[in-house]
Amino acid sequence: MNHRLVGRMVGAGMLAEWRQVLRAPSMLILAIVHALVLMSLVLLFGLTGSRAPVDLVMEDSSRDAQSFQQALAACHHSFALTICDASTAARNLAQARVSAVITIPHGFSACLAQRRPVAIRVDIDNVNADLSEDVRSALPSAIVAFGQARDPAGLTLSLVESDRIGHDTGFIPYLAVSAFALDLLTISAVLAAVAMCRDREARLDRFWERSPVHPGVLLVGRVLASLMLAGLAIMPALGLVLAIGIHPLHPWALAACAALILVCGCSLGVAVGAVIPQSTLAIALILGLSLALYLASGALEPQRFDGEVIWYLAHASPAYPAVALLEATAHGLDITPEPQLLNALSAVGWTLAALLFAVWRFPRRQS
Amino acid sequence: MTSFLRQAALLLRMEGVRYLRNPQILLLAMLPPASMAVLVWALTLNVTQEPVALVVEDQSPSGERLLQILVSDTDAYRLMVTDAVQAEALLHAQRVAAIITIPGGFAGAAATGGGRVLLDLNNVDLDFSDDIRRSLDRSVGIFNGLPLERDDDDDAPGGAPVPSPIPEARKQVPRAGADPLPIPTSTPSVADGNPYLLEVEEHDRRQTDVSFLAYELVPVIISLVLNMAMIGTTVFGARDAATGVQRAWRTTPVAPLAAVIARIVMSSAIAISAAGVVILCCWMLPRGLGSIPHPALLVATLSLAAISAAVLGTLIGHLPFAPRALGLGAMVLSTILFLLGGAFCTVAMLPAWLRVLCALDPMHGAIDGLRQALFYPQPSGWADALLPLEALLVLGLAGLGLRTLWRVRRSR
Repeated sequence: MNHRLVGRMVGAGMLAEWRQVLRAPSMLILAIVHALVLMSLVLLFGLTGSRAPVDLVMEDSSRDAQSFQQALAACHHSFALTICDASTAARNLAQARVSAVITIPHGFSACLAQRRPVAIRVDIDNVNADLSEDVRSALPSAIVAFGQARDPAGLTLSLVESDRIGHDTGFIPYLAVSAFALDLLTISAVLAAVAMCRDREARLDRFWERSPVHPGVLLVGRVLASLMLAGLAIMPALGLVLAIGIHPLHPWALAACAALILVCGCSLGVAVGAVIPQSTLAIALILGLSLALYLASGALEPQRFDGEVIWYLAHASPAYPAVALLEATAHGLDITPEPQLLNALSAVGWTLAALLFAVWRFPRRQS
Repeated sequence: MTSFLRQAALLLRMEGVRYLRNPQILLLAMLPPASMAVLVWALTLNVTQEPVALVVEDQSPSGERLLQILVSDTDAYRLMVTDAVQAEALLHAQRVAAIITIPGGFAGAAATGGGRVLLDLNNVDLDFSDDIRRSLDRSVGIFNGLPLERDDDDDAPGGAPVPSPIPEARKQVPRAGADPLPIPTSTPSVADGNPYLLEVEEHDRRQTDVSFLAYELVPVIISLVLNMAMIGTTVFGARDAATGVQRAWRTTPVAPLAAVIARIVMSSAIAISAAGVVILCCWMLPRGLGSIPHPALLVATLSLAAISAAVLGTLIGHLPFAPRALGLGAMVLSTILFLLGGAFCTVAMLPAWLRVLCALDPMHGAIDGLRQALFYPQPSGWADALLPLEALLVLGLAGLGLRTLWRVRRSR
C-alpha cells in the first residue's frame, strides 16, 4: 500500500470531519452542553450527600449551650446549622427549607450543672430515609463529642480513630472527578460514533468501493478529528472541575490518564458506529448506557464496598478503570483493589478490544 | 364524521406501524430508565450500611456487650467478625471500609474509665467515612449509657428495619394539622447511669411507611414516560423533515396537524402502556408499591406527563437541525428535566436559586404528582404539583398551533 496515499487520505478524512463540524457546530455545542449538564447534575446529587440544612433554636445561651452548638457544627460534616427563633424554624420546616430543627431548651446549662437530664428536641422532616438517618445518627454523635469534651471522667469508653489516608476527600470533589471520567468517555464515544455514521447516513459509502484505499482508512481520519474535538469539548467540564477547587495531586499523570480515557471512549464509539449505522440511535445507545456504566464504576465510593457481585459486574464497565485512574491521579486515592498499572492496562485492553470489534463488524461494501 | 374517524384510525395505525418497524427507538428510550432502575436497586443495598470488619480481642462480658451493640446495629454496619490478620487483608482488598477493634484488656480499661475502641478507616471519601464515624460514635454512646434504643418496627430502605436512636415512646408523629413544633409537655426520664445527661426527643413530621425502593421507583417511571414519549416523536419528526416526508403531507388530503396529533397520541399511548406495565409489575412485587390509593390520579398524572413530553418532543423534532443533533438535544433535555426534577436529590436541600429552577421543571411536578397519587392518603398537593406540567402542555400546544398556522400561510 502506498503510505503517502494513506497519509493523504487520513488527512483528508480529518479535514472533512473538521469542516463538517464547523459548518454545523450544533453537535459540538451539544456535546459541550451534555458534558457540563452531566457534571452539574452529578454534583447536585453530591450537594445533598452531607451537611443537612438544620435550624438550631437556642433557648439557652449559656457556655454549655454554645459548646453543644459547636459539637453539632463539628459533627462529621453532618449539619449546615442556622441559628434562628422557634417560629422561624417551624416555618422553615413546614416549607421544607430545612430537614430538621434542633432545640436546645431553656435551662440547659442549669440542668447539666445540677446533673439533671435534659431532652434535646429534634423535629425531623423524614421524607427522605437517607437524610433522616444522617440526622438521627449525627445527633448522638454530637452528644458523645460534647460529653467527651465536657466531662470525660464519667465515660468508660472512647473512640480512637486512625485513617488510612492522610487527608479526607469531600464527597463533591470525589464525585466531580468521577463525573469527569464519565464525561471523557461519553463525549468522545458520541463524537466518534457520529463520525463513523456520517458517511453512511449521507449515502456516501457507495463511493467507498471506488476508493483506492480501504474505507477504514477514510474513517480513521474522521475518528482522529473527532478525538481532537472531544478534547476541545471536554475543556469547559475540566474548567468546572478546577473551579470547584480541585487541585490534582499529579496533574501530568491526570492529563495522560484523561488522554487514555478519551482514546478508549473514542474506540468504543467507533465500535458502536460500526454496528449501528444511524447516528441518532448510536447517540441514544451511548447516552442511555452511560449512567449504568457510571454507577458500576466506583463513582460514588469504592465499588467493592457495595458487595462482591456488584464489584465483579463493575469490571464489565469501561468506566471502572477510568474512574480509578482519575481518582488516583487527582486525589491520590486507590478505589480499586487492583493496582493502577492494571487499571491503565485495562483501559488499553478496552480500546484494543473495541477497535478489533469495529474492524470485524465494519461493513466493507456499500450499504 | 365517519371519514374523519377512519382517517384518524389510519393515521394512528400508520404511527403504530412505524414504531413496530423501528423497535430500536423504543428499546433505546428504555435504556436510561432501565439504568436508573439499576441505580435505585444498587442504592437500596447500601443506603446506610457500610462493610466493616470487627476484631474482638477481648472476650469479657464488657467486650461481649460492645460486640452485641455493634452487631445489633445492622443498618449502620455490614459486619464481618474476624481476626486482625484477616481484617487487614479484607481492608487491603477493599472488601471492608474499616476495621473496628475491641482490643485486649478492654474490660479492665473500661472499668477504670479508660476503655478504647479502635477504628481503622479507609477514608476514601467523606460520604461513607462520616457514616461510619457517626455510627461508631453512636455505638460508643450507647455503651457509655446514652439512652438510645433500636426500633425495628419501621420500614427501612429496601425493606430492612430502620435503626431508631430513640425509644418508641419518645418518637412522636404529629397528626395532620398539628402544630409542627409543639411544646414538650413532660420532662423525659433518663435511664439510670447516662453520663451525658442528654437524650434525644424526636418528632417526625410524617409517618413514613413507603420503602426507599418504592419511593425512588417513581422517578424511574416518570423517566420511562418522558423518554418513550419524547424521543420517538423527536426522531420521527426530525426524520420526516430530513427526508421530505413533511413536504409530502401537503399533497395529501390529510391536514398536517392531524398527522402530528396522531403521532402525539400514539407516542403517549405507548409511553403510558409501558409505565402501566412497570407499575403493575411493581405492584405485584412483595416489597413493591403496595396498594394504590388513587388510581384515577395515577392515570391522569401519567397521561399528562406523556402528552406533555410528546408535544415537547414534536416541537424539538420540528427544529431546523440535523436529526442527529436533535436526537442528542432531546437526550440532553430529558436528562436535565429528569435530574432537576428531584429524581435522586431532595430538592428542598438545594440552594434557593436551584430550588426555583426545580419548581419550574415540569418533571418535578410529574414526580411529585405521581408520589401523591401513589403514596398519600389525601393527595391535597396533587393539583398544585401538576401546574408546571399543565403549563408546558398549553405552551407546547400553542407552539404547535402557531407553527402549523405559519406553515399554512407560507404555503399559500
